[in-house]
Amino acid sequence: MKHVKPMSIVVKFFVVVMIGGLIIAFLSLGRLTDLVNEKRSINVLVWGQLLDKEFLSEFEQETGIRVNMSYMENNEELFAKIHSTEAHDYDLIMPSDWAVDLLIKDGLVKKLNRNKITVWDNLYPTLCHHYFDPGNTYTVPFCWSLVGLGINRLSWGSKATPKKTWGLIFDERIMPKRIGMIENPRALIVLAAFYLFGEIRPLQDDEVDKIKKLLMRQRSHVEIYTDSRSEYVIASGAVSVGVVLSGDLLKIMRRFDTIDFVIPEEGAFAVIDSFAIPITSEKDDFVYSFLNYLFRPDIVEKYADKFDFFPAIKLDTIEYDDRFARLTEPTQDLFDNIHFFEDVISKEVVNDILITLKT
Amino acid sequence: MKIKEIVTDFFAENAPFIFVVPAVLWQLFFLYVPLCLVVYMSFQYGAEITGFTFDHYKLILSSSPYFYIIGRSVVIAACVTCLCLMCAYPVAYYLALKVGRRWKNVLLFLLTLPFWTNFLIQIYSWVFVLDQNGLINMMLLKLGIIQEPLHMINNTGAIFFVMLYYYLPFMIMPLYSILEKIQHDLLEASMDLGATHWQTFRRITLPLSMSGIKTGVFLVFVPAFGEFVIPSIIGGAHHLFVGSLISHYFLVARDSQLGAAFTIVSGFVLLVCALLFNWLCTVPLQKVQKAEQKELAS
Amino acid sequence: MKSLSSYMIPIAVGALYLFLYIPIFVLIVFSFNANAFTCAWTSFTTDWYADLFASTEVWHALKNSLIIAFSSVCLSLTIGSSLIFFGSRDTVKRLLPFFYGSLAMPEIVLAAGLLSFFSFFIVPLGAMTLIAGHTLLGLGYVIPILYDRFSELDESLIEASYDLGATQKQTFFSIVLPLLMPALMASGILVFIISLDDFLISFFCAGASVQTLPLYIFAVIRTGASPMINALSTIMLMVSSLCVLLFSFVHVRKLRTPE
Repeated sequence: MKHVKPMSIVVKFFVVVMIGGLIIAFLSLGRLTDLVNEKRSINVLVWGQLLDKEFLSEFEQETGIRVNMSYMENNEELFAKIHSTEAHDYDLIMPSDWAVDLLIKDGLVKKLNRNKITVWDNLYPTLCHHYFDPGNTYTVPFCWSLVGLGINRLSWGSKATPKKTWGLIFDERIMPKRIGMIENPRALIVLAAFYLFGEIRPLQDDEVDKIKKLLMRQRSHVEIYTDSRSEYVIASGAVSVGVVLSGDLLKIMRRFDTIDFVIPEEGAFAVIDSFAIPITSEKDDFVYSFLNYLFRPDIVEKYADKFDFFPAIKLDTIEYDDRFARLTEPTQDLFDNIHFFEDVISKEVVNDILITLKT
Repeated sequence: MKIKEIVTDFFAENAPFIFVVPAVLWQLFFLYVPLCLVVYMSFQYGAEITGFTFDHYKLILSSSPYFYIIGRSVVIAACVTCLCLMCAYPVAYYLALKVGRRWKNVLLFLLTLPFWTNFLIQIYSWVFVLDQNGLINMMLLKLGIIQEPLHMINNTGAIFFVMLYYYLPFMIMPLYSILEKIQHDLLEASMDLGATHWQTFRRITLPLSMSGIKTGVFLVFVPAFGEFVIPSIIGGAHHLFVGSLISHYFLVARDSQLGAAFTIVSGFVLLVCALLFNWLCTVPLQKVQKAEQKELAS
Repeated sequence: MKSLSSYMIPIAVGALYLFLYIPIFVLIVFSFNANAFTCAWTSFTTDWYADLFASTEVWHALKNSLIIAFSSVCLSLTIGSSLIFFGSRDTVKRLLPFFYGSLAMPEIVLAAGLLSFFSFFIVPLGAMTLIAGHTLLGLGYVIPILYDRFSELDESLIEASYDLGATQKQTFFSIVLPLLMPALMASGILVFIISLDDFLISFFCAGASVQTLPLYIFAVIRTGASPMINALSTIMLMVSSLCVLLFSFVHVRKLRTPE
């Protein structure tokens, strides 16, 4: 082999810097390709259980705007994605009510140009002007759902008809052997706090201890903590009662008539999913035309048919059976006695309770 | 022409350095710098306030729930590793030493085929099988073997079962690869010299396969320690594991600083476990060797 | 005694393989079940396959995943093999533990670290960041495997090549590469599968416009679109089996033809 003279430090440094520069250039390549592809496209982040791209081809063909759809499983994921990229990535997002509250406070969404959206007249008035966005300056609601109890009469057995109360999952005297509970820690704690104290507000220290005790006692009855599979475990009879979204349970109730949705007398919770535009989006016009397309009655009907959710606009064309008739329209009656999963409990308390509960 | 010569000469002369740099820089940028960043973050107060603090570590090291969470992950990972080792060794042994070449290739192929299916789909298929109204229960009920459905999911046993399912191939492959290298002549010679099957195994096969066992244990224990998807889907999310808590801090609670501290503490525990295992492997071997030397000397 | 124990182990091995294949069996069978809901068999249907072929999203996600997987494989093989071959023996041997890092920690730690890194340096998340993460994972497998094989290679072959006047480049391409080909292919396929199936790093580090297959499956697996995913998995299984069978057939053929 040839005798190789050792490389001087300067040359070594130069090589390292060159190759390091190549790697950094490689990373920035992403930005360039995005800019090239990005001209007529929008990035949308939605719930996987509410929307997909199936009925969008008409929109894409008519306007030439490509819709890149990403899915999220819960609002925390939405926050993580928005915060980690400084909201650069998305042009349209679908936060739930309490998430909207936080997003507005953090200044991450922009005010809507109400003139550019044509759907206002068609929306149910009871779904607008709630605590998180009075005046609907930042958001337009897309769908709503109630959070209540789903009961499987078959696995409930011959016991007396269950009382319509949250005690079914908290009160050991009437709790069945196996229940399904929410997984999301924040919602879990708000529910427990509501059951114990009757209102939704920040917690004192001794109240935190009471909640911990309640949840620990509940734990021995909990078959599964889940947000997205609650309707399946109710249907399969693995649990006799579970906390579930009315929209999700609808899917099951269509197939099995032994399943009931119960609105507890203390009051159910409601969840409203709305569209909002992140503050850094520069494609407002594309987004507005997309929104107007999405809110077209025939498109809403197609999606509501496929995913079984309750849309925020009035639709006469969908049939619901009698057990559901009461629940499908967000009447003022219904909404007088509901609560929201407001974000009033501090992060530290949530972590504290979660870790104590699940150790 | 001259420039081209200079460049190719430069490359040829300094190739050892030039071609090592990309790999090293890549690891540095995408593994070690992020780790340093995580360590740095674990000493910060929070996103808004900067400043050095031990608060996060104090919180973690002083509250017992964190110990239980880490301990639970260690115990489950260790049990799954042991189970995998016990099930995988006979299979790898059989595959490497007892099977003809044609069957060997077929069986190896069959072993690797499940890797082409998506992980989540495999786990959800198990839910399908083990559920209250799942495949097994329905079959057993139909055949009249049981009257009430068995409770096979949303408990710790189910977690063990599915983790065993998922990690077995990771244990079989390194064991197979090392056992395959053992020459048949060696084993035959041992038998000819009068050793029983068991003695041959203990004195020859086992020590020779030690490095494969180490690799297999490594490949199973480390991911199993950080596993949280299987316990969450199969175990009913009753408990928090190291992985679930890290994911919770970074994604749900958005408390990257506390999450970073917890990550470092768990990483440290993992390191201790690895060192312990390494020590356990060498010490008994040394003891056995010393005992045998004594035997020979006497 | 011998006959009993000599049957027990094959039976145990067979049982183990059956155990490993239960989910595969389930997902194939139920990709044809008309009932998407419970495991009661209602009727045979290929509707889900029709749905699969009609859905553009699945193929878009698959396309993204394949592109990212191929890029990660190419990058990790290039970087890894150039390290192993061109680096001096001593340096590589000393550096080897440095590359075990990505295997020595749970993937969630890697993913969380990468996310912090990319947010801190304000690197836009996208296909490139994902490829970077997957290549990192890939290097952790490629380098040990190649190093193993390379150190088993006969030194004298390489020395002979140099003695006959070949340059490093010529030696690499004509001698070392063909000899290392099995190891390269094996580690390449391994990295490909890992990248295709990777969920955690994609979840943390993919940007808005990069929807990969595992992310899509994760989003959709709850809404009853599972039979369609089952159909996709069945097809992927069949395609990969066919590829492997074809490859081994060709390989065996090559070995059989007289030189």
